[in-house]
Amino acid sequence: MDELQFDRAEFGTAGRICTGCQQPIAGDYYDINGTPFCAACTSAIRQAHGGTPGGADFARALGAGVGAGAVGSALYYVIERISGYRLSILAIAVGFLVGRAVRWGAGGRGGLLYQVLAVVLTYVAIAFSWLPIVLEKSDGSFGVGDLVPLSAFLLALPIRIGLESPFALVVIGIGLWEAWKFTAPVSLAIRGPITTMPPAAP
Amino acid sequence: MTPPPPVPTTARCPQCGAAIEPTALSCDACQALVHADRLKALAATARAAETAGDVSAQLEAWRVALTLLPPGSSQYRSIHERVVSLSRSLTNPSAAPPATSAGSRAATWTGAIGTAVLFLVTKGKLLLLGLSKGSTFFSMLAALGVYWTLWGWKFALGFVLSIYIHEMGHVAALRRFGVAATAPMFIPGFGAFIRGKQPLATVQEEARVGLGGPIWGLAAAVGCFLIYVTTKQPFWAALTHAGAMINLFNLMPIWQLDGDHAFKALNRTERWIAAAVIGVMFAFTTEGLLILVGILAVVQAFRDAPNVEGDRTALIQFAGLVITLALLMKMPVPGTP
Repeated sequence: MDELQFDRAEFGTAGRICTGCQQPIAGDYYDINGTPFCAACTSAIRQAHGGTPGGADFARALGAGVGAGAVGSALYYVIERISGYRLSILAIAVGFLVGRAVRWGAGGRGGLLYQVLAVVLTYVAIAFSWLPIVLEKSDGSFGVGDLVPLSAFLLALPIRIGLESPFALVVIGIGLWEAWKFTAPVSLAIRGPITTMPPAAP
Repeated sequence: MTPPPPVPTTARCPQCGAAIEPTALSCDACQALVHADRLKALAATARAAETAGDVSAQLEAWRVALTLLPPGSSQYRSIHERVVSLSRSLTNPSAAPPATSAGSRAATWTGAIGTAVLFLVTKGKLLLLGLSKGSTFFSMLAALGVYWTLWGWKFALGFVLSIYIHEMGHVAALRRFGVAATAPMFIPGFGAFIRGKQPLATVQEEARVGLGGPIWGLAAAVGCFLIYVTTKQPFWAALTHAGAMINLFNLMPIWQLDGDHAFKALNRTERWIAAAVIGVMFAFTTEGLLILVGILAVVQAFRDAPNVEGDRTALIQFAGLVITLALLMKMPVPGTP
């Protein structure tokens, strides 16, 4: 390590490497959130994150989120059946799954709309995880007319259980936070083009 | 009233005077390193630690230096390579034997008893150090209060301390690799967590840090078990069982749990061996939690294992933890069905 000097940054003979395409950057470069990018990659990033998301993006995010929520709900039941434990902590996994799925569906974009969508879907998934238990404990006489009161009952369950067990409430809160966090808007600080001067002669 | 002065949005390069971003690590115009003086001081610290044979201190200094260098620079790459090399010397001493550390040199002189005393003194100091942090202490008190209402103060205290010891196992492992970490923060009903302030350099490092918590947690559970064997008080059996359960739960190879960090270092064969050990222990103990851990281990075994060289130490640690924790969970707790 003795050969290292700490007066000036050295970027080797190839110069700066683009964080996106991993190729040496010839000439000017762009700084995105503190890392160097070439002009082509910067343009692609601007295009991917710019503009308003369309209806198709939202529909895909909704579909992916509902699917992930259904998997999350089923996970509670499967794990309870296998292990005998109803693990409150699974709320975090549900938030993680739904948040990731919504983000994927939205093409990597985040934003308030997707954050609200992810949080709502996570909550619904956690609430409906009790559905198999409710059905098992009922006499099996549910009809179409019972769907609305049953849904209302299930949606109120996390709050009711949370009021009795602060543990469950905290963990559900963390699950919702996971969903919110994963769909947060990406903040891009783009500087450039930056012209690099050759280092001054010693 | 005088308005506050505006916050500067740009700074000046100390070398050429060009405008630079306040968070810039080097000047775009002349490439001068903004933190040159600090970097030189860190390099001197690392060299002094190298002379003293203190690998952890070297790692600590170089890791801080990495945060002050532009990631694309050759200095960054050189230091990163050095960090990886030093880290490997700790995770796999036979590959690159580090110089004898001051601590281990002392241990050679004082023998096995001296090593044990040294361990208790240094780790005991670390355990007390964690409690001196306000965020840890007060969040711990909050968790204690919540558990108290459920199980009474005695069990709540033992449970919270078990979690604390588990977390300090992670802190100790991070310190060994020279990574700065936050103090443990308790979340009632969830457990506790710590965060490393710098990224880990290798998957082996991640596995040691991940398993550091369950290893210390196991030590706490074994301590409770020994007290139970001596006193025959059911309280200690219950605490042993609870301690074993939280640590076994953390061995699930999923999300950000400790088992997931360990599995990142295992190759496919080692993942299957881990799954087999879990299966054998389930057959022996019929503990339901092992089914969950086992299913997740099998899923991980089917997935791509990027670290093809594997990590035998991580496998031995993981398997040892599964075996001992499962056995502790099998121990009957008087007064429970």
